[in-house]
Amino acid sequence: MKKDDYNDRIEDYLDGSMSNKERLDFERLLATDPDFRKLLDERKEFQELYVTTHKITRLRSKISEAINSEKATEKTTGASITGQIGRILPGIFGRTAVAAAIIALAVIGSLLLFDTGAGKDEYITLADRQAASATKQTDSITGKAASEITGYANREIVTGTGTFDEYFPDEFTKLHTSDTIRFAWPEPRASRHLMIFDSKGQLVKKLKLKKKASEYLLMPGILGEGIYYWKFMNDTTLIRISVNKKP
Amino acid sequence: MYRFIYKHYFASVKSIVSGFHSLILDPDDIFQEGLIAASLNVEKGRFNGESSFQTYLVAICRNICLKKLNRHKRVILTDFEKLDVIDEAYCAPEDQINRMLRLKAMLDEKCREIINLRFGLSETTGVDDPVPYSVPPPEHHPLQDGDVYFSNKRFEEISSILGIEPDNARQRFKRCIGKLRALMLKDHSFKMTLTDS
Repeated sequence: MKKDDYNDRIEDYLDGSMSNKERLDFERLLATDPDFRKLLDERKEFQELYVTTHKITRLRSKISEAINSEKATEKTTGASITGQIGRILPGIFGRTAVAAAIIALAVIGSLLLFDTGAGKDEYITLADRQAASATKQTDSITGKAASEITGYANREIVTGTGTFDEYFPDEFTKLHTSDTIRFAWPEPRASRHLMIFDSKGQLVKKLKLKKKASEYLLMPGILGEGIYYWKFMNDTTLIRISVNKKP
Repeated sequence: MYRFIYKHYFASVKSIVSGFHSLILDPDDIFQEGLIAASLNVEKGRFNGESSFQTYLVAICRNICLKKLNRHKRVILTDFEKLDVIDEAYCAPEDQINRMLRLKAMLDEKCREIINLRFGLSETTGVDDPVPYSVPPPEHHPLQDGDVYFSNKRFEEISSILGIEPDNARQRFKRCIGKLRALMLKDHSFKMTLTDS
C-alpha cells in the first residue's frame, strides 16, 4: 500500500468515518506494520507541535497583555499616590516639607531603578526617553541630534506608545512601507546584530547595533510590503511584523 | 487571572532571576516563559498540587534560567545545581516552536483555516481549546492516549462551517497538510524527525 493511502486511512480513522470492518483492518495493520505505526505517530507529533505552537502564541499574547496592563496600573497608582501626598501634606507640614518628601521619593526611586541589576529602566516611557535623548544624545544612524530625527525623509516615525519594557514593533503594530520604523527593546543586548527575515526565511537586513543600544531606526523603503520576522543574532525568539502599502 | 499571578508571584520570580546576576536573563521573559510552561502543564494535568502554584512556577522559572545560562555556557550544571524534577509538558524546543510559527505564516489563509479547524483550533473565534470529538472513540482504540483522536474535528463538521462539500474539505486539508509537511522537510531541524515522502 502506498504512503498516500496510509495517510488517507489515518485521516479516515481520526474522522470516525470507518465502518467496523475497516476499523478492525486498520488496527490490525497498526499492530503488524511498523511503518504504518510510525506514520501515525508522526501525524500525532505533528498535530501536537502545531497545537502547542498555537497555544503558546496565544498564551504569550495574553500574558504580555496582562503584564502590560498590570504595569500600567502600578504606574497610575504610583502617580496617584504621589498626587494624593501632594494634596494632603501641605495642610500638615507646609510646602517645604512637601518638596523635601518629593525629593526623597525621587532619590529612593532612582536607587530602586539602579538596583534592578540589569539596569533596566522599567518605568521610563518612550516619550521620557526621547525627551532625555533629545538634549544629550545623537541619533545612531544620522549622527544628528535625536530631536532632529523627524526632520529627515519627512516621514512619520512609528514608535511604541506604551511603557518602554517591550519589544517594538510586533505583530500588532500597523506598519507601512513609507514609515520610518524605530525598533526598540527593553534593554541593551549582548548581541550586536539585529536581523530581519522575510516570510521565506531569507535574510533581508542585518543591522549592526551600537554598544548599549536599545533602539534602531530603520529608514523607509527598506522593507517592502510583506510579512517579516526580526530577532537578535544568536537569539531564538522571532517577532512577526507585517508591512502594508500606504493606504 | 494572569494579572493576578503577575501581581502576586512576579516578585518571587524576579528574585530568583536576579540571583543569577546575569545580563542575558530578563525577569519578564523568564516569568512569561515559566507561566506558559506552567499553564500547559496544568492543562495536561501534570501539576499534581503537591506544592503551591507559586512554588511550582518559581521552580519552573529557575529551571529555565539554568537552561538558558547553560546554553550560553555561563554555567555548567553540577550535581549541586540539578534541575528540579518537574514533568514538563512544554517540551518542544523553543526554536522548533518558532520555526513552526514561521512555516505557518508561509501558508495561505485558507490552508491555515482548514488545518486549525481540523485540529480543533480557531484563530478567528479565539477558541483555542481542542474541540471534543463528536463521536466517542472505540473502547480499545490503539492510540495510547486519546488526545489526537479526541481533538480532530470531523470533515463533515468542517464542511458545514466552510460551506463546502465534506470531500472538498478532506482534499483541501490533505493538500494543505502536504504543503506544510513539505516545508518542514526542507527545514533542517524538522527533517530529522520526519519520514521523507
